Amino acid sequence: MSEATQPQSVLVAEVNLPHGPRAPFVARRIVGALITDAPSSRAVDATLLASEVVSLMFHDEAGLSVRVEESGRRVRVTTSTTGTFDLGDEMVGTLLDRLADGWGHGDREIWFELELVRRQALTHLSDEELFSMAPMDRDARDEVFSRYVGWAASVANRYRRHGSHFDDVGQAASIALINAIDRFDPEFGVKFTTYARKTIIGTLKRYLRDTTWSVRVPRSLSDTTVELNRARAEVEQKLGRAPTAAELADELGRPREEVESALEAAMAYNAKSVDAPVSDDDEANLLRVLGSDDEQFDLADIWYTLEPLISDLDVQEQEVLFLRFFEDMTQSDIAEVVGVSQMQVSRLISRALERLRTQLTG
Amino acid sequence: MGLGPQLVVETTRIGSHDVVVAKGEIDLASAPRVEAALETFSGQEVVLDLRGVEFMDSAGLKMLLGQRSRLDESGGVLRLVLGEGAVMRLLELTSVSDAFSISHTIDG
Repeated sequence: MSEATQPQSVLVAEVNLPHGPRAPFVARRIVGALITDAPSSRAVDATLLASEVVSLMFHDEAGLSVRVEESGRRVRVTTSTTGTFDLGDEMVGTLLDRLADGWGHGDREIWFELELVRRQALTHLSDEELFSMAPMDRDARDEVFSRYVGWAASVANRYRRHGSHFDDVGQAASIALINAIDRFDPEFGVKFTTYARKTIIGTLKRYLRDTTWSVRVPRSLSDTTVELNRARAEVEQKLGRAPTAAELADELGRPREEVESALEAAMAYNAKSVDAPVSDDDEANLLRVLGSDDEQFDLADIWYTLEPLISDLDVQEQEVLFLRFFEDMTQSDIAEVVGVSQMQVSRLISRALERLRTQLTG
Repeated sequence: MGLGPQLVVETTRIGSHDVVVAKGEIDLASAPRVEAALETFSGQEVVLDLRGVEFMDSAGLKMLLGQRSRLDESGGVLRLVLGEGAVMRLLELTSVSDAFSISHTIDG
């Protein structure tokens, strides 16, 4: 026996390979089939290494077998021969060094191990530490992904209606999450969730607009949108503030979920919905239109809708708007972050809003 | 996951190029078939289209290195046509991509 067996390892399978040059091919198929639930790139690495080792050990007369064991997140593949082998092959050594997380050999066997899921050690790292590794490090990326994939699904959850395909939406959210992880830079000065939410919602809206709006949104929803705009103005006048989705639902005598859908539809598909009559206090008004207390009615929606216009603003205006409307910071807090006076923040916001309004109405 | 034919090799002429097209998996068992197709040429350029190759290990790579040298010595050249897949990755992992003339299309 060799040093190859780890404590707590579970034998998945041990298979004798056929004699002849098809042995590497069969070994690949076996290893590929036994390694499930792994990131595909790692499973591919495992099949490549299995093929290499079996090729190295191949002699017409030798009997070869492959053993696959699991130990926690590690998979160990051990190839044994009844004959001998020569590890002098540089290329096989290079590949084992580069792709395996550990490997070794006895007189009649070669084993290698791969971490098939994220590395355990990374779970102790903070998000900040992970993000400083992320662009280069696949494991850091996997770790961040696993931390936020559930959250991304919950963000996407609101879009799982109108008969849109459940899995499509989840998949779009996961892809958006990966994009957000790749592009996020802690230097942005915003929380990752803030940034990722914007990316996810933006992606879903593009996705729904491209695939859903013209074909799947029920007609009653479009009608509700029109009705909604009337009701919102009325209720707002009555209450002296923006109504919540629940209050609008009451007013309209419709289910809250339908009202929320209509609100989203209006935001996603019709930039004019923010081009409402605006009073003399621009900021308060836009906030009222954009910033309902109802958390379901998210500022990120508006941000995305306005994004093409916002990107025309100068950098400082963009930053201030982002902090004010997206991060929901007060003018004084923004002043501190940006390093200008609160008065300047106020002026920057007014100027930016004025330009946005001109572009929307112009 | 069938155990069926693992590699299809075809020799053809496309424009002014002699082209060997391989599709499938290149390893210990199948590399000799690519080698046999390449060995019908010498003293000229041969284009080996590997874009349809889903898997290649170092047995395939050694065969390619051998054929590259052989064609070189005969005054010819072996040019590989590659996508972003398994073959390119193997060349990079083993740091031998510089040893080959590589392009993304048959015409170079």
